[in-house]
Amino acid sequence: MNELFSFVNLVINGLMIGSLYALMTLGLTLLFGVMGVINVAQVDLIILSAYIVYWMLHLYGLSPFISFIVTVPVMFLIGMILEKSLIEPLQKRTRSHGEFVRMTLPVFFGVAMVFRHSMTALWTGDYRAITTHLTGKAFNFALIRVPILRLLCLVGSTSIVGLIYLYLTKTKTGKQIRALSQNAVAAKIVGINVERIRLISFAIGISTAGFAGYLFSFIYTFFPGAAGEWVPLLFCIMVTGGLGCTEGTLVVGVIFGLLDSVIGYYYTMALSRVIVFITMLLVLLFRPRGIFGRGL
Amino acid sequence: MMSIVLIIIAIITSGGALYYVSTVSSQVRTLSEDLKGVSDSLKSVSDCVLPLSETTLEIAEKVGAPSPELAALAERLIALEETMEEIRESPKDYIVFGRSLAFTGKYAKPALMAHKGWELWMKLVNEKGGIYVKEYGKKLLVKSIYYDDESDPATAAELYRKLIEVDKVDLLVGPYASAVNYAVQSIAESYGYMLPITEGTSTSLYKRGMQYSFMCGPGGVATYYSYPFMEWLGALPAEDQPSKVAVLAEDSAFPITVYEGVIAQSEEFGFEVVYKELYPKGTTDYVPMVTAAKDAGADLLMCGTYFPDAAGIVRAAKEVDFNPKAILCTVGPTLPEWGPELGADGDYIYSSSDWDPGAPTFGNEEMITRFREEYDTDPDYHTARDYACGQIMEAAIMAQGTLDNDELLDHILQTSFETVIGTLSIGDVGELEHITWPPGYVIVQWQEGEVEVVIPSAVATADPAYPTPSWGERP
Repeated sequence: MNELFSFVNLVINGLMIGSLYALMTLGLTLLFGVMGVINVAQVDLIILSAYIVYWMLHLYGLSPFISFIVTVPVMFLIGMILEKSLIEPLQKRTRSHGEFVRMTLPVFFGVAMVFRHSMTALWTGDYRAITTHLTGKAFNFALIRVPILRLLCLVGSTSIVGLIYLYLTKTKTGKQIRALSQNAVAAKIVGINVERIRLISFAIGISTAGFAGYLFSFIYTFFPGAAGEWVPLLFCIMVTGGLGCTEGTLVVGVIFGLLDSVIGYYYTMALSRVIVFITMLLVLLFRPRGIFGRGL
Repeated sequence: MMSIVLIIIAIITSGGALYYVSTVSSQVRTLSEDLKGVSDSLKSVSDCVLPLSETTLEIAEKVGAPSPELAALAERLIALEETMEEIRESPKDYIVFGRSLAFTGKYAKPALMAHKGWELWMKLVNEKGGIYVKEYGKKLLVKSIYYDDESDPATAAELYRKLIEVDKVDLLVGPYASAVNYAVQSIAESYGYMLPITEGTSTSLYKRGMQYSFMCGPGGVATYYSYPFMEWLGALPAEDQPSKVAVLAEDSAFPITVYEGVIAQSEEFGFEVVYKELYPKGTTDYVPMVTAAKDAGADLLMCGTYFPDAAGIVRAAKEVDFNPKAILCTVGPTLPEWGPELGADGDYIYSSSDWDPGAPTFGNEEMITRFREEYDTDPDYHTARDYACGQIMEAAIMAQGTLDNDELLDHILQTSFETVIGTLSIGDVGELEHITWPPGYVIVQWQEGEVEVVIPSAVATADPAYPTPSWGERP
C-alpha cells in the first residue's frame, strides 16, 4: 500500500520537476527554432535571474514569490541588448545562414562565460538558496504529499509554456515569428519587419529565463558555476522535443522528469540519464527533427 | 527612444568594463614585472655557469690525461666553486609555489576557503621576512602562482604541467577535490615534484602507490569522516540507536570514499544498510532517492555530499516528510553559509570537520584572529588544512635548508610537525595506515543557526541534539 502511494508521489514529483525542465529549455528551443541561435548561455541567465530574486529579497525585502515582476523584464531587456549588440551584427557579417548558426555557438559560449565569471566576481562562489516559510511544506491528502513550491513550478511552468504556445499560434506577431522561422526570405517578401520580429522573439526567448530562474531559485541551491551541470540535459530535451516546438518541449521535459523520478527510485539516477540520452539518440536517428518537430 | 536607452546602457556597461579592465591590467603589469625579475635571475644563473664550464675545459686541456685523484679533486673544486658562486650571487628572492584551484565551478566555495588559508599563511610568513633557506644563505619570501582549473580534473592536470615546465615553480601545492588531485598526482609524479594534497581525502589517492604525493590533512582519509559519529551512535543505549542506515553519495572520488566508510562502519557497529545509492554528478532531483530511503525504513541518513547536493537532500527529506534519527552530510554543513541560506531547515544536520577552532594547537589562535581581520569572516576546516600545509612546508624548508623536492619529501615523511590542526606525522607515501593525525575528526551539528562541536565530548561545545525531531514538530 505504502509502495503504491510512493509511486503516485513520485509520478506527481516527476510531473512537477519535469515541467520546470521544460520551462528551462523553452528559451533554448525558441531561439534555436526561430533564429538558429545555439544559446548555451540560457542556464547562466537562469542562474542570474535566481540571483536577482535572491538580492531583491536580501537587499530590498521583496517577497521572492512576486519577484518575477523584476526578473522577467530584466531578462527581456538583456535579450534586447544581446540581440542588438551581438545577433544583428553577426547576422550581417556572416556570409550564409549556416555560418551564422555555427558562429552563434562560440558567441554564446562567450556570453555564458562573461555572465558566469561576472557573477563570481560580483558575488563570489558562495552557495545561495532561497528559504521561505513554504520551503519543504506540502499539501497532504492521505499519504499523497504535494510539496507547495514544486506545485508552483508545475503551475508556473505549464502556464508560461501554454502562454508562449498561444502567443505563437494565435497572435499576429506570433504568426510572424513562425513565418520567420520557416523562411526568412519569404517573410521579408510578404512585408514582415524581420528585424523587429527577430528582436521580439529573441527577447521573449531570453525572458523565459527570467521566469525559469524565479522558479529555479525556490528548488535549487545556486552558485555562478551551477549552469554547467544543466546544459547537457536541457539540450537533450530541446533536441528530442523538436527544435522550436513548445508543446514538444513540455511533453519531453515532463517525460524526462518522470523517468528521473521513477527510475531514480526503483533503480538509480545514473540509469535514468542513460535512458534519457539513448532516447535522444534514437529520436535523432529516426526523426532528426525531434518527436514533435516540424518547425514552429 | 529604444536606441537611446540601449546607448545609455551600453555606455554604463562599457564604463564598468573599462574600470574592470584597468584593475586587471594593473595586476597584469605587476605580474609581468615579476616575470621580468625571474627572467633576469635566470640570465644571471647562466652567466655564472658559462665561465665555470670554460674553466673546466681549461683544466682538462692543461692536465691532459689526469690521474684519478687529480680529476676527483678538480671535480670537487668545481662543485665547491659552484656552491660559493650560488651563495655569493644568489639571484633568488622568492620561494615560488604553484597550484591550480577551483576558483570557478562546483567546488569554488570550499576551494576559496582553502585558498584564503594558504594566502594567510604566505602573508604571515612574509611579514616575518620569509623563510631562511641555508642553500641560498638568506631569507626568501614566499609567493604563489595560481591558475583556475574550473573544478575540472583534465584542466588541472594541464595547468600543473604548465606550472612545472613553463613557470618552473619550486614547489607544488595540490588542487581542490579528490577527483582533481587524482589527475594531478600523475603529473607531479612524472616530473618528480612533491605534491602535498591538502584538499583530497579519498583513499583512492593514497592507495595507488604514488611516491611523491602525500596527504597534508588530518584525521586519516575520507573513510573516517563518519567514524566518530558512528562510534558515538554505537555506544548509545540500544533503544536510542538507529538500526537501519541509508547511504547516499555523489559518484565521484571523495564521496565514494565516505560511502564506503559508512558501509564498513555500519557493519562494525551493527547497523543494517537498507538503502545505498551513488548518484551521478549533475543529479537534478533528490526526491526519488530520499523517498526510496524512507520506504526502506531507514532511521539514519548518511550522505557523502558537497553543498548543493547536501542542501537538495535535506530539502527533499522535508518535502517527503522523511524523519530519520539523524542526518549527516559531509561537505556543505561545514560551510558558514549553510545556516543563513537554509534557515531552520539546516538545523540538526550533522557534519564532519577535521579542525577544532578552540583547540590549543600551534598557531591556531593567531590564524583565527588574523583570518577574521583579513577576511571579516570565520575560517573553516579547509582553511585550516591549507594553513597547516604552509606550516609544514615552512618547518621542512627551514630544517633542510633547501628547496629540493626529494630532500624535502624525505624529511617530511620522517618527521612530526606542529600545525594548527595538531601534531602531524606522515608515514610512507601512499600507505593508508600511516596517514593518521590525532585528534582526528570532530563531529559538528547545526543548532539554532550556529555550528557546535558535539563529538567527541572532550572538545564539545554543546551536547548533540539527538534524536532529530520530526519535520512536523519543528517550526
